[in-house]
Order: sequence, then structure tokens, then C-alpha cells
Amino acid sequence: MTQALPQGKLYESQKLALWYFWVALALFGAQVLFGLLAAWQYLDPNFLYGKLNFMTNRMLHINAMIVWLLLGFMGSVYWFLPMELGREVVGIRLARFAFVTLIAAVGIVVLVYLLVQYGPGNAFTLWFITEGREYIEAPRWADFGIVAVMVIFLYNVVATALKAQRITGVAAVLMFDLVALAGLYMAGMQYTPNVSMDQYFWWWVVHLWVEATWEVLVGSIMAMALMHLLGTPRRIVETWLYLEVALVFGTGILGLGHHYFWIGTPEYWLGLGGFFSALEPIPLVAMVVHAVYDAGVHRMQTVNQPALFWAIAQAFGNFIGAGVWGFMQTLPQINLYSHGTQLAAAHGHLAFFGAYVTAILTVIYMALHQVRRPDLPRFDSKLWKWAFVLMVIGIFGMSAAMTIAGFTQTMVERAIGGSTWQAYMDAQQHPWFQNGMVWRFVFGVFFLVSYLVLLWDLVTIGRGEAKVAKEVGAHD
Amino acid sequence: MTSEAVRDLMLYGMLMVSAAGFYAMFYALGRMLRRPSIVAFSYLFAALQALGALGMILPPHLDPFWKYLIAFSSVVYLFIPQGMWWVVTTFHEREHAA
Repeated sequence: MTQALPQGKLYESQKLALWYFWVALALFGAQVLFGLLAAWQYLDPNFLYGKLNFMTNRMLHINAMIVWLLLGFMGSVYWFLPMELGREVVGIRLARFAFVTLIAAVGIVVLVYLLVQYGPGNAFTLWFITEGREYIEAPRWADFGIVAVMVIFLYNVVATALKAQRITGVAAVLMFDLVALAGLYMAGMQYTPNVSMDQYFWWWVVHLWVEATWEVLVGSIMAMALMHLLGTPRRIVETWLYLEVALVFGTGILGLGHHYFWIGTPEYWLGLGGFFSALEPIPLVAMVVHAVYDAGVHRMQTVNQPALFWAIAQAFGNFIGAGVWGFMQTLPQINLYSHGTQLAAAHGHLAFFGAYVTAILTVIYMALHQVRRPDLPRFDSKLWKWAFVLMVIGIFGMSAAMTIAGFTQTMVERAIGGSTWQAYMDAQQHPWFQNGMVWRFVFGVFFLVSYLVLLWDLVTIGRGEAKVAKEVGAHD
Repeated sequence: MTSEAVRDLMLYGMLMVSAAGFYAMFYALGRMLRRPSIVAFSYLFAALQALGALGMILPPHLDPFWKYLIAFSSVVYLFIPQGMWWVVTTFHEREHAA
């Protein structure tokens, strides 16, 4: 049985989703801020030395990104799920509890990072300070918390679908993906003194968790978003979703192998990983055609233009960040020299922004439209275009600067210098590298400004029109 | 592998995939707007895409396996826009007719 909701009212899970969004946006700001501090420390290594070291800023920059995107995804699912299944989310109290617990845990972990930073490298450090693995530095207790929250999230989706007696294609993909999301994260909780094995499982989290399960999750979210934003028929978005899942699993999982070369696994991984990675841009090129078609059919017009623009940016951003920047360094012959340089950082920045940030911003604009006045003919503002353009310029500027720096590293440090310590120093002091770092900081400041514009727009968009409508008694 | 070879492979790789993307974009845009001139313009990027592939295939930097893989990808990229356009429009037409 499904529960119909009165016009203009929100489901409880949608109210909760808004909390997820605002906390996610706050952490987005933290990500940008700590990234900027780390970028400045590249230029002035003495800046805040001993107080807020580079490693701490970098750790907070990366972990804030992981957490805010995760919160954004969860918020997006809690936003769409009741509409998708036609009823309130079953475990809404549990969902609220998980939200509060997650936020408290994030707060504690951030304080530990800021105040304690590191420990003696024993079990206590592992459990209560940091696990020390890039991207997943969270202490062990927080790891269990993240898995528990994911399990609650999965339960809520499954239980709601069962209660509604309705499992759509999107919901089914979502459920399977959430099982993998909860399960794969546990790979990063394995501990073994064998560094190769340790890295092996670490890559599962970095590549399969962040890049495979998140890709499917964002595919499900964008499928639901497109149905509500453009009225795209369910059969079309579901077919695309199945196709995307097949492509992600078809090329992405074994594509992971191109990283394995670096951790001491058998040599066949180099070829295997490189082969599937090299094929990864093909489906992304195909999706460009679909994005142009969708935008063209609607002539770039919809009641919610900011959401439409961010949705289109998602399709192109995924292609450029993951496709172009990924392919540039994916062939084993190149990867051998470029792996772990600023080129990888450029690829990461573009891909995460293009695939994930844009998707979450799409949903947030859709949610705000629904909250602020769904009956407004156009959900619009002057600022959103500025935020959009500045943010896109900011991320491309940063990535271009890192690409030049990374290219220098690849050439000077690896290809010419042979990866010696002296070659590393030569690359770090090379004018191209140093100028790249300067421009990375400049565009970082640019990005911070664009974030503030975006935040102001999200706080204010639609409010003026809603006030006017209320004053003239046009609605309600 | 020399540093020049690494540089060339990276740049040609970037050219190949980004040109494939522009080819797809302009082709779809041209078909969408019913402007044959834009479709014709897109073929310029198709050529650039093929050029990028040739830049990786012709020099002796890569083993045959990787050359075949790039050649295969390059041919696929040439037909993706037309194929996807057919899939997308046919699919939408059927859905709206139903």
C-alpha cells in the first residue's frame, strides 16, 4: 500500500534530507578551506608548521570530501525514496539516529585530527586516532560507525520497498549497490603487516567503493532526478541505469588493476588493468550524445534551470574528469611514469567534481525548489549562474595548474631523472612545477569565492518570490 | 621509453579522447538543431581523434597489443555518435509512441 502526501507537504525523510544537505554543504566548505591551506603550504612550507601541518590539512581536505559527498548521496536518496516508492521511509527514527550519530562521529574525528593528529603507531592509534591510510584515515571505531550507518541506510531502503510492496528498477539497483557500499568499505578495515596485501585491500575501498559503488549510486540518484526534473519516462532512465551499471562493472572493476602494478601484485595486472581502463572512456563518450539530446529536447528550459545546468555539467564533467584526464595516464607505459604525481591529483579533482559534486548540487536545487515554493513557475536567481560559471572555471583552473605540475613531475622526476631522490627535488624546484602550484592556489581562492556565492545562492534562492507570493496572497 | 615518448603518448592520448568527446557533442548538436554544417564540423574532431590515435600507433613506443587496443578504440569512437544518436532517438520515439 502506498501513502499519498498532500500537495506541498514534505515527507519526514525529505525533511531529514535537508539536514543532510546543509551539513554536507558545510563540510564542502571545510574541504575547500583545508585544501586551500594545504595548497598554500606547498608555496610556504613554514605556514602554520607545528600547529596545523600539511598532512593534517590534506587529510581533512580529503576526508571532508568523502564524508560530504556521502552525506549528499544519503540526503539525495532520502529525498527521492518516498516519491519513488510512494510512502514514507520506514525506519525514519533510525535514520535520524544514524544522522546524529554520524555527525557526532565526524565532529569527534575532526577534533582528534586537529588536536592530536598522530600517535605512536600501535593499536591505540589505529583504533582512536587514525588508521593512516590515505582517504580512509578514520580511526577504527569510526569505521565501524560508518558501516553501521550504511547498514541502517540499506535497511531503510529495503524495508521501505518491502512495506510499499513496490520495487522499481532504480530501487533494486540502489539496494544491490548499498550492499556493496556497506561491504566493500570493510575491506579497508583489514590489517596485515604485508604492505602489498594491505594496499590491495586499500585500493578496493579507494577504487571499488568510491569509484564503482558511488558511480552506481550517483547513477540511481541521477535517474530519479531526471524523472522529476525533465519528466523523462521511467523506462528510459531505468534502461540507461542498467546500461551504466553494466559498463561500470564491465570496465571499472578490472580497470582497478592498473593500480595494482604499484603494490607488488603479479605483472598480469598491469596489462589487465590497463586494457579495461583504456576502454573506460568509450561509454562516457556515448553518454555525451545522450546529454546533448536531453538538453536539446528541452531546449535548456525547465522550471528549475540551476538543477538542469548542474545535471548537464554532470554528464560532461564525468566525461572530461574520468574519461579524458583518466585516459591520458591510464596506459601502463605512461602510468609507469605518471602514477602518484599531480596529474593523478588533477584527474581526481576533475572526476570527483564532474561526477559527484554536480549530481548532489542538482538534487539540492531540486529539493530547495520543492521546499521554497513548488508552485513557482521558475525557480531562478541571478546568482546561480555566477556560482556555476565561477565554480567550473575554478575547478578547471586548479586542474590545469595541477596537470602542468604533474606533467613536469612525470618528465623531470620520473622519465628523465629516473625517480631518484635528487630527481624528485629537481622536479619540485622546476619553474613549471612551482608556477603550477602558484596557479593551483590562485584558482583555489577562486573556487572558495565560487563556493561562497553558491552557498549564498542556496540560502536565498526562491525566498524573495515566495515572500512576494505570500504577501499578495497568491498561494496558500 | 624516452621522456619524449612519454610526453607524446600523453598528449596524443589527451587529443584522442577529448576530440572524441567534441566529435560526439557537435555531431549530436548538429543533428539536434538539424544543422548539417555543425555535423560536418564535428567530423573535424573525428579526424583529430583519429590523428591522436595514429600519433600513438605509428611510433614504435607501444607493443602491438596496445596498438591494436588503441586502433580498436579509435574505430569505435568514429561510430559512437551515429550509433548513440540512433539508439537515443529510436528509444525515445518508441517510448513516446507507447
